[in-house]
Amino acid sequence: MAIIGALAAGLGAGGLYAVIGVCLVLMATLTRVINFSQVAVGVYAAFLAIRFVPLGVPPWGIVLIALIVGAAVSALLGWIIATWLPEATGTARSAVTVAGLLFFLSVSYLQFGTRPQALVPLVSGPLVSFGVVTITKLSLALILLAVALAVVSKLVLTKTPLGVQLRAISDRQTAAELIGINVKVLQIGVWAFTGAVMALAISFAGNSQAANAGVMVNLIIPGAAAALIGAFKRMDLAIIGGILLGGIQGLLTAIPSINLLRDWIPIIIIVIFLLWSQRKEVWDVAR
Amino acid sequence: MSLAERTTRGRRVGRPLVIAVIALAIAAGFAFGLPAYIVFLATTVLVSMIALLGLGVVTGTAGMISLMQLTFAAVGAWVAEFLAINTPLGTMFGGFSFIFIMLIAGLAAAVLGLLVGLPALRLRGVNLAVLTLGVAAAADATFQKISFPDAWTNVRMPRPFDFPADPAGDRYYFLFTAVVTILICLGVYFLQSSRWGASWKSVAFSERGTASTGTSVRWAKLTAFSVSAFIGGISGVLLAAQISKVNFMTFLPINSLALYVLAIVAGAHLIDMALFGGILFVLVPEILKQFGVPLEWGNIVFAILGVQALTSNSNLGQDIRNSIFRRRRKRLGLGIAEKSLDTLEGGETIPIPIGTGRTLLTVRDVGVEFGAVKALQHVTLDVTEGSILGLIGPNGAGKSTFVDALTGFLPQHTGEFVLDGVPLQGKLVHQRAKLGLRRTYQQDRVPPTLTVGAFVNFVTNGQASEAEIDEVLDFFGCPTASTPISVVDVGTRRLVEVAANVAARPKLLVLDEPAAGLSHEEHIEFGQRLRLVPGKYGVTIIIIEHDLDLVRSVCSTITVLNFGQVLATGKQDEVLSDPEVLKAYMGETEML
Amino acid sequence: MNKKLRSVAGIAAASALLLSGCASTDSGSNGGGASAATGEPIVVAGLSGLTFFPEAPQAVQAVFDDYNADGGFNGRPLEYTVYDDKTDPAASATAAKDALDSGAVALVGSSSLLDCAVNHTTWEDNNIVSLQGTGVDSFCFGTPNIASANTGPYFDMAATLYDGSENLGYKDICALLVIDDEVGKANYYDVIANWEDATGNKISYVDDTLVRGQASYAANISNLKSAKCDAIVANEVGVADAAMIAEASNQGLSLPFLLLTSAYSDEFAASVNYAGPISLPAEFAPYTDANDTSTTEWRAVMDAHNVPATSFAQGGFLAAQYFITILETIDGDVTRDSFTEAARATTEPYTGVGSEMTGTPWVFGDGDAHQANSSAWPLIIEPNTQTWVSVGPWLTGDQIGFKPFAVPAS
Repeated sequence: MAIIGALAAGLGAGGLYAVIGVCLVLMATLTRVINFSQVAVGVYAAFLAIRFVPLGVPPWGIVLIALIVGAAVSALLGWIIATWLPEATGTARSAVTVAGLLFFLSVSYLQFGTRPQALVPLVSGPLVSFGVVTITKLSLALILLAVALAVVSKLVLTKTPLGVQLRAISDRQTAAELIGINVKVLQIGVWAFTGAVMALAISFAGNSQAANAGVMVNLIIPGAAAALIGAFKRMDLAIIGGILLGGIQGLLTAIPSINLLRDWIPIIIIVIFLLWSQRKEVWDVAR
Repeated sequence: MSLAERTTRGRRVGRPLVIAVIALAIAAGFAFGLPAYIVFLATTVLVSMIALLGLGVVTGTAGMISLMQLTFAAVGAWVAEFLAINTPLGTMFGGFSFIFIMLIAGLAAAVLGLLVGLPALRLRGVNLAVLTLGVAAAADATFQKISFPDAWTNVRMPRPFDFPADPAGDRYYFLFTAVVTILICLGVYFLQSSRWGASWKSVAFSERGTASTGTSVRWAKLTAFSVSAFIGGISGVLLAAQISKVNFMTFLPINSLALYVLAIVAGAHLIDMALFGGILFVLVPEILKQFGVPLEWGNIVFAILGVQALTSNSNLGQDIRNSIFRRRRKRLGLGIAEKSLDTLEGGETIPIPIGTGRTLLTVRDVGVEFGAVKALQHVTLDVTEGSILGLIGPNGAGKSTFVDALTGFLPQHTGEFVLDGVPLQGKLVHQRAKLGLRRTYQQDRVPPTLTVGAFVNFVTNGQASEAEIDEVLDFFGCPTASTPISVVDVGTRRLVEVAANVAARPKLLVLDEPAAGLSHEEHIEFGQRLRLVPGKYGVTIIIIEHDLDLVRSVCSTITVLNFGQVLATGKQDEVLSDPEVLKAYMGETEML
Repeated sequence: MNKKLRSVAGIAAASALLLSGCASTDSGSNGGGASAATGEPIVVAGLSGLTFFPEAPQAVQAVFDDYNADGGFNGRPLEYTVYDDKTDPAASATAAKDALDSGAVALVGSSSLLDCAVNHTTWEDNNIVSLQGTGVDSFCFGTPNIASANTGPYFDMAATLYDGSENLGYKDICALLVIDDEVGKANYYDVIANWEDATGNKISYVDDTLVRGQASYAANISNLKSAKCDAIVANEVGVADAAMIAEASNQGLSLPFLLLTSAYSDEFAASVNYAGPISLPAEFAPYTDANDTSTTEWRAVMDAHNVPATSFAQGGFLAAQYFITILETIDGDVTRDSFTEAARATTEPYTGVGSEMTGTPWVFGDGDAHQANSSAWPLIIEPNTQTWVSVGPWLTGDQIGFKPFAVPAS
């Protein structure tokens, strides 16, 4: 039973990985970037927002501030990339987000210190418990957030005029520009959107997964792994992958004898999955 | 080799060696002339420089993102410590044991690089970055759990030749590190100038282009990754011996990220710039220390510089290099039109080659489908050895699809190709290239990071001598071998591509719109040279062209494609007077 | 190219200006303050991970500034420089060389997660002693040249276990341990074994697979639910503790937590929202308790110099006082060797300002290892509250059955 409990706990943790993974897939498909700063902007926003608590701002106001700040700093990064690297390769654009991660991490340490941050989680406590198996409210909230995000994105992209424009800029950017679509504004909009989503997710999770700035690095890795399972193209696989990743990590924690191997199994599984799913040699059209 | 060639070759090898000796002398001066603390810092500069050099190979040269360079260093450090402290190898060869241990540790890191690189080959660019980050995180957790051998029994990592860990020993150790650094620089320099280096630059620019030259893309990427890992491992060993005690915090994933950003800022694929990066890495924290500022600001500085470097699409190193070179730019070779063929071969009329009569390439019932779209159907033709076949047709007729299928980029095609008796079924792109099948591309696939000569050398897999390369370049009116491709215009780059592939002396060469970008006079000159190629170089040609004048001037046989099917095939005059062909082209202004 | 170099140079210049502006209130590393003492300075150094322990060197500087204003040592001011070791072994080794190069006679107030492990041989080789403000790794408590003002995590662990079982009445304790290296692991297990001997309890469950920087503690918390736990003891740092506690909340637990000193901060208390009690033994008299008279003088000095009043500041303060006391026993030249000799020769425990902040008297002494501070003061965060409350009284090493450990010989 302990193993099932650990699995359930891990699945819940995977909810956050799923949210990050979906955000990364959205960014990769719409703005041609692997956004290594994805978690960083959300964490920074949440930490900045709680600075307003002593001013008497109510909890919903704090969340709102976090959303705004998350959108703003993310949009700033997006603006830099859209302005100076519009035609650059995905590699170059993603490299800027690596620098961004470094930047936010260091600024966070300097601005907020290294002690625990007083994040008040929006969601906390168990949902249901059977013996040692607990499903937490937070895990449900995060999984729902990930699914809602994917569903809403899919609907917007396929059923609305805005979605058509977004798909155009992701597929054929130059052609889209030529027919008058404002590529820069749309891309910055996507950046802002995912920045706000991440701030929301971090606000949900609170200290259970975001106690200090170090999580900017610790969370982007499993989140990116989840997106990798979807080959940075498919949101559904990113959600499943993220949840499963958390579940596997949790499950393995309950087996102390494979202590060392435990850290490697997730990445090995991802590699095997990728190799299998891309077993036919495929030549990139562009290259 | 003529005297001139021998001198150039000698100069190419001699110069780096001379620089190496001078560097060694400077290092010796530093080691015993500067204060001990500065010497210690300088050792850190060199160790960082080595790590950056490794990163420069995989990132700057081969164009992949690697976010685990410090993990390779950690593996190197761990293996070296284990061998030095826990095995008899630590003392088996006296003072020289360290060198053996260092090499073994580097190889261990290279093996890890190989293991990570193998599955990563399927992953394009940034996906590889995520994989390396995942491996870095897993390795971090593992090193936390097993810790480094120096912590198991509180023994320190010994230095080479029993150098002590005091300031006097620091000086000797700096000198040792300097020697290792110089050797690695030389190694990297010669690798970069060799075909390995050319394959890396090529794969960074275009995977298709690389495969078409007979170089396996997988091989190119794997070698880049393993070399960078090896060098990274060496840097870890040197670091461990410098500070004699390491733990997982030295090699955190976030530090690998910072190193990556630094590599971009400095442009670490250039050796002198790797040194610049190493200096930056040490200097920035030292400056911050002077002002009593928390060292977090160092990361912020690097981050800002990194963004600046990326958004200006160059780095300090490249700028300095470019400015120096611009002052010493050599005269480009005469354009093809300025060198009329009369002066080369004598005589105006060169006949259209008709070939030996033997069939070189057999194409039977080839079809390609993309979902519901039938791009090619029932394509059958023969190509005679020593002739030039023209492949023409309206846009979208399937000409490029045909070439892709022939050269191996569409393995799902139906039908068969047989080249000189060898069926091409199941052969990968680079394998077909090695069998004597070469092609050029419509889009520019000539990497601008190479020189003309290095590119040709790469395309010919090193089989052509310098003299032969110069001759072919001259024949096609291309710039001289030492010209960097980055200063050559696009049309001339096409010519270089053609020249390079001719120099490779394939059995069959497919040219995909080679004359686009040339002026009318240049078209004519180009045609004249093409007519000579089968006889002079033994190469059979298939040429795809829209310019019917050029086609008429070089091709003995023509195949016309329309909507993916062969409309007509045969001798030039028959095909071009075929009423079906005329009907297909009705309205085209390029008509007769 | 010129434009680019100019812009880079501009950025560099702007950054330098910006940084120098920010530097003014920080660690004050530019040597001793303006002082009434004007003789030849006595050079002192300290190593700190400035990211994690910024107050420790600040506290040292405050004490030295006052001492210098009062005339210094026979008119000679104390010149203090702190070196940031960035919690990175390479940087720490460099900082050590830097400190030695500067001619320091002693290290005072060092506060770092690892500088003892990295540098203790360097100190021994150069016959210099380090009076740590905050020692963390094993080597701060098990080598001849280092004596810490604080008790360190191993003593802390012994104290928190004892407090949990004997004072708070938790019999079945479950442990979540993060291990940094083999030596540390052995020490923690020794501490647990000694506690079992001293109290007759048996540890109920041990999970020593935690990793620093773990993305989620969900599974670790879930796993201990299958064991019989009256309380959970954890040896992590404050940030990780906060994450574990939040996760415990999520899974509906309200088990008491027994933590180490790293969690003793106002920020930590503000960051938890837990239905169970959280206890820990502080290394010095509780600085959050404004009524505790043993901290009054220390607090006054901190306030006067704008140093945040935390336990790291206590450690730095005391280390500085210990330094001055030893210094004043020296008769001849003040050199590295003479100071080290004087330190080893001290037999009288420290009774000066702030001595009541430790439960056991501090003396450097002549041993091969120094656990000079072996006392702790219990505190608690009551359920559903967000402030630390002082509990007391002192838990001493004898009382809790603490056995000093030896680190393996180099």
